[in-house]
Amino acid sequence: MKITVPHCGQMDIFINALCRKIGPDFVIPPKTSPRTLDLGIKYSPESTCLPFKFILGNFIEALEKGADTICMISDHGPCRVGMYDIVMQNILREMGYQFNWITMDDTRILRSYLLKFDRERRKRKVSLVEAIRALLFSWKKMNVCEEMERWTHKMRPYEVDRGETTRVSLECLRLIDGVTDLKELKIAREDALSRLANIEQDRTRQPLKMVITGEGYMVINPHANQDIERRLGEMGVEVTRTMWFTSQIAHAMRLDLLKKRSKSKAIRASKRYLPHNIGGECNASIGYAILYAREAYDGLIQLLPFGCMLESVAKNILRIVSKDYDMPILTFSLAENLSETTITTRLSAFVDLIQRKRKGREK
Amino acid sequence: MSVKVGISRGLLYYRYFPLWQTFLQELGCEVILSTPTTKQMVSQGAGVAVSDLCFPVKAYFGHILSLKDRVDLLFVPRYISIEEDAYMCPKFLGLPDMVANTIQPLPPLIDYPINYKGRKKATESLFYEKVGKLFSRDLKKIRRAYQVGLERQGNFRCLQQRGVSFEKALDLSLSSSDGPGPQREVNAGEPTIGLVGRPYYLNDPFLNKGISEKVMARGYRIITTESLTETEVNRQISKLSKRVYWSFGKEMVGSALHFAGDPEVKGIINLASFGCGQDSFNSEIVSYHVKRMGNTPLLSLIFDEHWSDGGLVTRLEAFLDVIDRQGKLNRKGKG
Repeated sequence: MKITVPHCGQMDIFINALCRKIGPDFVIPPKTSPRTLDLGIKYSPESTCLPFKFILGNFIEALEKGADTICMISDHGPCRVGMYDIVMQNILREMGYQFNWITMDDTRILRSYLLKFDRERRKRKVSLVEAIRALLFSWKKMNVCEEMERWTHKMRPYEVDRGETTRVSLECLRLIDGVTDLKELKIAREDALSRLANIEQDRTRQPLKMVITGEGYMVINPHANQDIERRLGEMGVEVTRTMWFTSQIAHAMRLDLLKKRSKSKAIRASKRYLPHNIGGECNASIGYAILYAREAYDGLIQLLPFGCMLESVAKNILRIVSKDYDMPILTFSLAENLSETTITTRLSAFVDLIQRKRKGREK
Repeated sequence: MSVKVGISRGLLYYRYFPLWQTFLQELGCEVILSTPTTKQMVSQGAGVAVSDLCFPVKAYFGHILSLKDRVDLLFVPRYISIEEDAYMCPKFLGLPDMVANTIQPLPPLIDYPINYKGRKKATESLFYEKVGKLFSRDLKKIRRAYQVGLERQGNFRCLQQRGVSFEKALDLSLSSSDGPGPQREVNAGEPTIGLVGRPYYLNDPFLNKGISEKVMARGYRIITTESLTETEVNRQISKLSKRVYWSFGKEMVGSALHFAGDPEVKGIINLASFGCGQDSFNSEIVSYHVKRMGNTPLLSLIFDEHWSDGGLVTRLEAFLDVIDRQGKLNRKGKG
C-alpha cells in the first residue's frame, strides 16, 4: 500500500517523519508546481475553488508517481470540502486511474482518526509506546519547522540583503527534515536559530505590522497564495499569520484553549458582527481582524479562493470591521489565473497606503 | 395601527412565503412585499454587496434597499438548516449579518435562527413562537397562527408537487379556499423538459431570464425540481455513495436523477449560479450521473447579472433542436 496525501503547508515533513519511524509507505506528491495547477484546472469542474484544483493536481501527480491509495479529509458541510472526495473520485476514475480511497471523515471526530491509526499500528506490529513516541516526535518536528517560519517572518523586513532570510530558512528546513530523533532535533533547532540570528540586519527600520488571515488552505500554502508572506516581508512588512498546520489540528482537538491568539478566541471575538458560528474560517477571519486591530496592527490581508461561500460572507462583514476599528483591510480573492504582477502591484499599493497613513499619524 | 413587516421577494421567499405571510397576518401584522425583481434593484444591490457574492444574494440586497424605508421591521430569518442531515447555503447562515452590516440605516431585523443541526437546535415551531412574541402575548394565538400557516404552506407545496406553477400555487394557497386543488396534470403526450434548480432560480423570471416561457413557447411541457416530494428526492439521493449535505443541492441532484430515469422527460436543463459554491459541485454530480444513466440530453446553464439573454437563447434553441431531432428520429424508428 502506497498512501498519498495532498500538500498542505509542511505536512509532508510531518508525514515523512512519521512514516520513516513506523510506516506505512507514503508517496508524497511532487512539490506543487505550475504543472500541478495546470493538471488540476484541466480536469476540475470550471467553477470549483482553487484548493480543489491544487489538490486534484497533487493527486494526479502522486498517482503518476505510483501511489495506489489516496487519503483525504472530509466533512459534512456547509463548506464544499466535504464533497471533494466524491467529485474527485469520479474525476480520477474517469481518467482511468485505479486506486483505493480513504476518507478521513469529519475532522471533528478525533476518535475515528485514532481508531484508524490504531488498526494500522496493529497491522504493522508496532508497539503502542513506539507509535506514540513517533507521533510526538513528528509533531514536535512540525512545531520546530513552524517556529522557524515565524522567525523568518520577523527577520525578513530587517534583512540587509534581500532574499537572504529565505535562503537561510530553506537551509534550516532541510536540516530539520533530516533529523531522526529528539536529541538531534534540539541541536538542529538551536543551530537553525543561530543561523537566522546571524543574518545581517538593519535594526533602525520600523517595519509595518500586518496580519494574514482568511481561508485555511490559501493562508497555509505559499504555492496557493503566491508566496505572499515573502513578498510582503521583502517590502519591509512584518507578517503575522493566523493559521498554521499545527494550530488547525490543535483547534480541532480543542488543545488551543490557553493560547493567546487561538482560533476559539477569534471566534468569540467575532460574536458582535456574526453571532452564529458559520463554520470554516469565516468567524475566525472576522475575529482575528478585531483581535489584531486591538493590538494596533497596521493592516490585514484576507485571502480567499474565488467563490468561497464562507469567506465571501466574512468579506462583506470585514468592510464594516475595517471602518469600526480603523484598520485597512485588503482582500485577495484568488483564482487560477492571477498573475504575479497583479499581486505585487496591489500589495505595494496597499503597503504605500498604510505607510502614508502612519506618517500622517506621526505628524 | 398594525406593524408593517417587510418581506423581500428573493431567496427563500420562493419556498416559504405562504407560511410567512399567513403567520404574520394572523397576528395582525401588515405584510409589505417588495415588488418583483427589476434591473434597477439588482444594480443597487450589487452596489452595496461585494463582488464575490452570487447573483440572487445581490438581488436580495436590492429588495431590502427598496423596502427598508417603508417598513417597521424586516423579516430576514436565519435559515441554518431545515433538516438534520443537511445545511442551507452558508450565505443564508450569515444573511442577516451581511444585511445588517452592509446596509445602514436599517429598521430592526427579525433574524432568529432555524436550525435542526448540532447542539444548538432551534426548531421551526420555536422560531415562530419567538417571532410571534414580538407581536402578541397570547401563546395560543401564536400557535394557532403557526398552524394555519403550516396548513397553507402544505397546500402550497402540494400544489407545486402536482405541477402547478409557482404563481398559481401561491394564489390558490393564499386565497383561503382549502378544498382540494387541481390534480397532478396528466401528461397529454407533450414532450417534457425537466428544469433543475433552486426555488429562486426556477421561479424568479428576472433571475432565470424567463427560461420557462422560452421553453414552453417551443411546445414543451415543463416539470421542475419543486414538483418532487421529499420522499422522491431521498429515494434518488440514497443511490449516491455520499449524501449531498445541502438542502437545495440535494433537491437538485435528486430531481435530476429522477428526471434522467423518467422516459417522459426528453431533456434536462440545469440552472446554476455563477460563483455559487454548491452549484459548482452539484452540477458536476448531476452531469456525471445523468451521463451514466442513459442518453437524456443535459444543458447546464450558469446565470449571472448580465442583462442580455442572447447567449441563453442561442444555447436553448440549439439544445431544443437536438431534442426535436431526437424525437423525430425515435418516431421514425418506431414507425
